[in-house]
Amino acid sequence: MLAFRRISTSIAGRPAPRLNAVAAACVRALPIARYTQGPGPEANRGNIDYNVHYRADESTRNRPAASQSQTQLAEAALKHVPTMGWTVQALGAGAVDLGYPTVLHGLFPGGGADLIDYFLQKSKNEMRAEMEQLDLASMKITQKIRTACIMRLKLTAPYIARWPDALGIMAQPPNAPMSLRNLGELVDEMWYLAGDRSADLNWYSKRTLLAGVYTSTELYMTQDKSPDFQETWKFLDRRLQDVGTLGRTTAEVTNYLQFGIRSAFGVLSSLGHKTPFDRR
Amino acid sequence: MPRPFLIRHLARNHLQRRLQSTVTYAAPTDAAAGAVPNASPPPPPPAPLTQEQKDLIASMLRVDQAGELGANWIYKGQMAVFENDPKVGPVVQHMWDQEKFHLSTFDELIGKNRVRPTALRPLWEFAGYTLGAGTALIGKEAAMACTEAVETVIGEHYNDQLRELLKIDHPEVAKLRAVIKQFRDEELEHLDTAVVHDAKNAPAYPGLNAAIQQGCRAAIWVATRV
Amino acid sequence: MWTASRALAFPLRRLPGTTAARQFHASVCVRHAAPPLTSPGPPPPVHEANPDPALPPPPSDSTAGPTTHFGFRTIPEHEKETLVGKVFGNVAQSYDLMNDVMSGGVHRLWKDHYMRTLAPSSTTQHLDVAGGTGDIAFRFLDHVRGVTPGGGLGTAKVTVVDINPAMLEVGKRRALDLGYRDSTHLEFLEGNAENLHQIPDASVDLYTIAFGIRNCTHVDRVLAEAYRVLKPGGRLSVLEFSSVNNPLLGPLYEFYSFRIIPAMGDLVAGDRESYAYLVESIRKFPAQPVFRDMIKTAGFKVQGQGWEDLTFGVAAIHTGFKI
Repeated sequence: MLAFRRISTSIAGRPAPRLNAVAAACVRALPIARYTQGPGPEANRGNIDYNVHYRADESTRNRPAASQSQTQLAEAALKHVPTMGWTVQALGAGAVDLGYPTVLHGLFPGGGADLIDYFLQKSKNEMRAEMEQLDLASMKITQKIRTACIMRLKLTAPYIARWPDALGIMAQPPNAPMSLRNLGELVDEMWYLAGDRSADLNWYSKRTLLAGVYTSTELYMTQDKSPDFQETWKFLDRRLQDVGTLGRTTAEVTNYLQFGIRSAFGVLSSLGHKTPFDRR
Repeated sequence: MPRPFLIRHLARNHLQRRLQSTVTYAAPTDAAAGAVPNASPPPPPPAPLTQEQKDLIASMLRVDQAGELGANWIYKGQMAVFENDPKVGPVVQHMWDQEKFHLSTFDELIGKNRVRPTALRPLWEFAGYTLGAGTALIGKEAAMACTEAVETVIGEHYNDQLRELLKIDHPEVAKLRAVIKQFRDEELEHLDTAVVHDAKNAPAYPGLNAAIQQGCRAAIWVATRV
Repeated sequence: MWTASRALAFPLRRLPGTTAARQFHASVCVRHAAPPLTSPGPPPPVHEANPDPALPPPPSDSTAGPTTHFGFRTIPEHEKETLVGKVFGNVAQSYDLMNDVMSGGVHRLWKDHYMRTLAPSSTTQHLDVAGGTGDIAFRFLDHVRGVTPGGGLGTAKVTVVDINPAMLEVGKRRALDLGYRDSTHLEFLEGNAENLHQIPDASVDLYTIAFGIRNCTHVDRVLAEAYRVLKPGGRLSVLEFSSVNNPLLGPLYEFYSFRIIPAMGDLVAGDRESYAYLVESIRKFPAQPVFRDMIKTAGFKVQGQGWEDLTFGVAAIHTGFKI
């Protein structure tokens, strides 16, 4: 310290590298406020457009859409799913409907799993299109989520008798990535439509909780014999109530963390160390 | 010549020497200025971003969010120590306020563009707070050395991103470049501030500096992926 | 072991065309000048055995008109069919046995998988080209039985075309053993894949060619014929040896192909050179992306990457649709 003071008093003849130290010594002699009041880069903030929107309306993992021939075949095949299940045979029957030989099913090399994949993507997009017709601004978040779930589940209704088969196919280990990806994209879409823009751990907890609600409701729906799935919608409401604390979970995690840090410093303090909290 | 200007000038020289070897400090600045559209020829419609480019930008926003989180909590940790310090307190508080704006900007961009946020938020908060409070406990100089090391890495990191983003010709990306450039300049101002406030006088300065810089680089590596 | 195989290499001389044989040796020598195979330790490649010192240098290709490859030899185009015919004439009787020995039975798994992937139905009109011994045809019939309620064959039919009567004979005999006596569901035809004049336009649902297309002189003509005979919406499916791109397995596979398989051909079938040809023809066949593009060029629509690798790319199933 003393050395620096001495340097600052005799600038002349000093080699250039010392200048930083000189400057440091100079500034120490000044009130700090002088420095921070200068027109720093912050002054330029007003000139910046922060509204960067490079990715408009797609899900987090957008995939190449099905080709036109695939779409035609899948749509024809879906008509046979209630009778033939999610199978290569349904795809073959769809091909015959289009006037082609059954072997055209090869457009979906994964057979039934690929047909399910197509159906899940298509249903997600249909759900979004339907939701966008609504006056979302006037709805509460839970109401939006509930509506989205019901809209999406109604798209499964025509195939509900065969949906347990589909769940079985989706649960096979080779198809698990496909199933999880579709589930993740679906709940992401729902939260986005519900207006959620969270950028913290709520992003994860909200999606996880909704995925749980959706899959359990879907499972319930496969067993539901009530007219128009009335029981399923009641089940959905109960599940949504269960997770009514959506979003609180992560706030608790953060609080707990801060508490942990403070406790650690508290231990240090008791051992005689100076801690940031001694000043309080 | 008013003194603050002289000081900033000197500190900037110092900074340029530091960054010269690894970073073309000025290049992105100049080129980013080219983002202002040329009025003369009718601008052709921009090519839509490819999936790879979108994914790249998403991972950039994610790592930037993680970085700003860490920075925020470093200053938060420092302020826990310097809260009542009349000299250092306002300096740190000023930098912290700028970081708060950076973080809220990235949070907003992530929500708006449907980017998956960093999954390790609590880790960055914990690490940042511990680093900030820990170095502040050693002393004012150590805290400034910490700031210097962190902001050096963040400055490099933003420059790397700007260089990548320059390869993409798209109006939204040009906007993002301007944002990152602005933030980079503010981070580098923090670096100047830290140097001016005796960062080099910290105990065991070289080791401290190297350790924190390596830690930050490791954190960036992780944050790009998780 | 080495001297034994040297000695055993002699019978190969019975393969036709001394000029061609000379070129064969020459091109093999050139090939083995490549770095991976010139390590000093291992014995010289089998085909270098006993080069005739009195032979004049091989004539240049320019005098011979259009040429093609026969294994690693370059031969006039019109000779390939004959040479291939002789190879398969030589190996027909032991072909399936040899396949088992060479691939450790894996070729059966490939073919089973192949048929599962194709998943034909009781209405499928199937044309299996270069399928003389019936390996694919019988799997087709089995599969159709499996998916048809009641286990019948419906209107399904498989037509086996092969250029080689010896191979067809093997298939016909097996068909009789399996009880297929009429031609309602199974028919054998002698024919050339490049000119399927017996097969009308747009009459086939499923065109398969398993381990055959690399032996054809003009692959593009084969693909064009396939396109012609397929119905709209029909499927071309090519099962063929392909390229192993795995850096660990590649050299191993190389060693196995060039050292072990010809020796086994010698031991099991008493015919080294024919099996050496089989291996070399595999290596001359285009890699997956190249062949995929050839299929596209022929007019087929390719879904996704267009092929499926089997066993790290030792074989691959290429698919095209006539849509």
